Amino acid sequence: MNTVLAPPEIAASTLEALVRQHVDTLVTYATHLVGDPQEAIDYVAAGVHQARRFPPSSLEREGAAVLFRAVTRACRQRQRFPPEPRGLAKLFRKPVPLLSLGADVASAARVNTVKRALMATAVDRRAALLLRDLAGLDYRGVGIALECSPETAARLVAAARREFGGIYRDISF
Amino acid sequence: MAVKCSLLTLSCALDGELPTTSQAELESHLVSCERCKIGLQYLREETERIANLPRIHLPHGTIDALLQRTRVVEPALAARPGGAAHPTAPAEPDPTVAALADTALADPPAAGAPDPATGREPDAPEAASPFNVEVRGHPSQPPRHADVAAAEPDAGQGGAAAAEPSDGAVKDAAAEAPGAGVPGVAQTAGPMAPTPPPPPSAEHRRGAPPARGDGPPASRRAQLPSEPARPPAAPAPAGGPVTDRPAAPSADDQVAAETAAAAEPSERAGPPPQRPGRRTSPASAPRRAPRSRPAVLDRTAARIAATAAVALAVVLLGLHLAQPAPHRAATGPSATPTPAHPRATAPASSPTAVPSPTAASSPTSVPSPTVPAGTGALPALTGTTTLGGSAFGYTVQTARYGQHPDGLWVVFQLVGGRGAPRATVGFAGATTLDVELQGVRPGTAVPAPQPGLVVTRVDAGGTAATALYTLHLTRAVQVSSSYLPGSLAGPSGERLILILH
Repeated sequence: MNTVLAPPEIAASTLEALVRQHVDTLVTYATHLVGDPQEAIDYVAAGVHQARRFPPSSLEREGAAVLFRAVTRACRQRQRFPPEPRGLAKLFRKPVPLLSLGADVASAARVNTVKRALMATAVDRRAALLLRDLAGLDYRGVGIALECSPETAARLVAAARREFGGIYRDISF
Repeated sequence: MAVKCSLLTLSCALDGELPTTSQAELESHLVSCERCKIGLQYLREETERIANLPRIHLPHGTIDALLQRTRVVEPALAARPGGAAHPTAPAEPDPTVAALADTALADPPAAGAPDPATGREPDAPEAASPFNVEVRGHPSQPPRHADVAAAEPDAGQGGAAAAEPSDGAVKDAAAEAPGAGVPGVAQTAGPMAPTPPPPPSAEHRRGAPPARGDGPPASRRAQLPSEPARPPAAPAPAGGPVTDRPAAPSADDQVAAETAAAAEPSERAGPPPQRPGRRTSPASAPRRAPRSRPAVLDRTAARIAATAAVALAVVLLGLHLAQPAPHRAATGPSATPTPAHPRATAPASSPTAVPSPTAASSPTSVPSPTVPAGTGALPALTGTTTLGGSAFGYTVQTARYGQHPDGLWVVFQLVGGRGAPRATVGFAGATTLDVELQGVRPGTAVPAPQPGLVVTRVDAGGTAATALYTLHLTRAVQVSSSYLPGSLAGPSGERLILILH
């Protein structure tokens, strides 16, 4: 008996349009989440690749939150696309990045007090803060992206704001 | 119910996630609660700080490359948005697309990859068009480029909305050429369902497998050079359902397929044959042949081989330098094989070459002590003792003499090297003691012994790599030689001690 459900039939243009619409926000979110733009685009590529291989059934309904969930998973698990070489292949890794980023990456990667305080917060809280205030997701979307309930997302956002504010005030003075 | 003074409530209110009634209660509460007012102001500041973080805007080429890399779109389709691939629009060269094509990310060469011979990249105005595929619907119909027909619908459109017009353009192009196969468009990667269904073609009905997940699409497999050419397919009827799955063949097709299967059973196991409607440039076939293997592997193997060769050369050079000088000379191309110490290994039965220490009456057998060592002209020694092993860099700094109860101590001080030099101590005559140090340069002249000692004179000689000292004795003695224990690799260097008694 086949107990594995077939992957849902999702139109390719749906995912493509969704990625094209939110790729800037995804890369910005991943950049501020992990602190490195080049790593961030690898994680975004991993998330998109995962969403392409295993398209969630709620892609059309939940929209960008699903992509943010895939990218958050990739950032948490350090899952890059293409995968990071292992073993002896590390010695022959190409130093040139495959995807070139725009000129505004330098300003995004520049470390200032806000970014330093952001990187000092916990990862889950940082992700919740970025998803809410940077990506503009509501609590339901934050819950989908972080795989928790909206109530938990609200608590995460509130705690993240408190922690981030405390760290920022500590290091800014 | 009164509003609770909590950060969670304030945060929810700031985000507008509080119910309407609670929001009104909170606003009335904020009038009287100064603490909540300050807290809300702090939260608003934190929100603004996060919202003002710099944002990244990816260029269109990078987005296309990302979509190609993740196979969200086929490589042939990715150049459409933005109008860059329009034949009349100037294309902006994107280095990332070329980098992706060069690196061969575990994929066979994509249809949009740059041609290695011509160097044209997919974004070039002529070659970049994803529909730059000759449409050969019918043998009698002249081939035409689908992008000519596809250019009009999406002129002036770009961005995210350009995906659908491009597909629609394919539909238009295929509709104008009945029965035309549009490869590379019909298949979508992974489980994604193809969004506007492409027109039916003969190759699809012949059983072109749907592109799934990691496997190369049929449009890519069709470009493999080893595929034999196939006669053009019969024109397909216009319209009808389009699917990636093979449609039910007609009766004639079934008979022909069965006949072909019975006649050539091994042909099915081979690569899929060349299908009509593909770009069948004969010059491109041999060029694409080496690309069946990823170029990264070739470069990696070359680097590994080069690294191994360099490491082997370094090891061999180190071993060669670590060998003692006579052996190194013997390994030269013009040198004759000589033993490590010719005098020590000479036959002892030679009456002229092996003087006994007690044969003081045969002065003719005693060679001249001033002959430098290493020349091979000296006769063999008797009573030889060999110490040490390989060493290099040593210099004899001085020699000291000391009369002890057990005999006369002659100490050679060696400095500036590493290892324990190979020392050979033996009698060249009854009253002549030779000391040869290999890997040691003779330094300045050693001091003369004091009068009254058993050693009357010390002659120094040798070569740059071997030091030879000849000790002239007043009588026949017994000698014991050793390195000073604990002096090896010490700060004071090596000390070779000869005890004459």
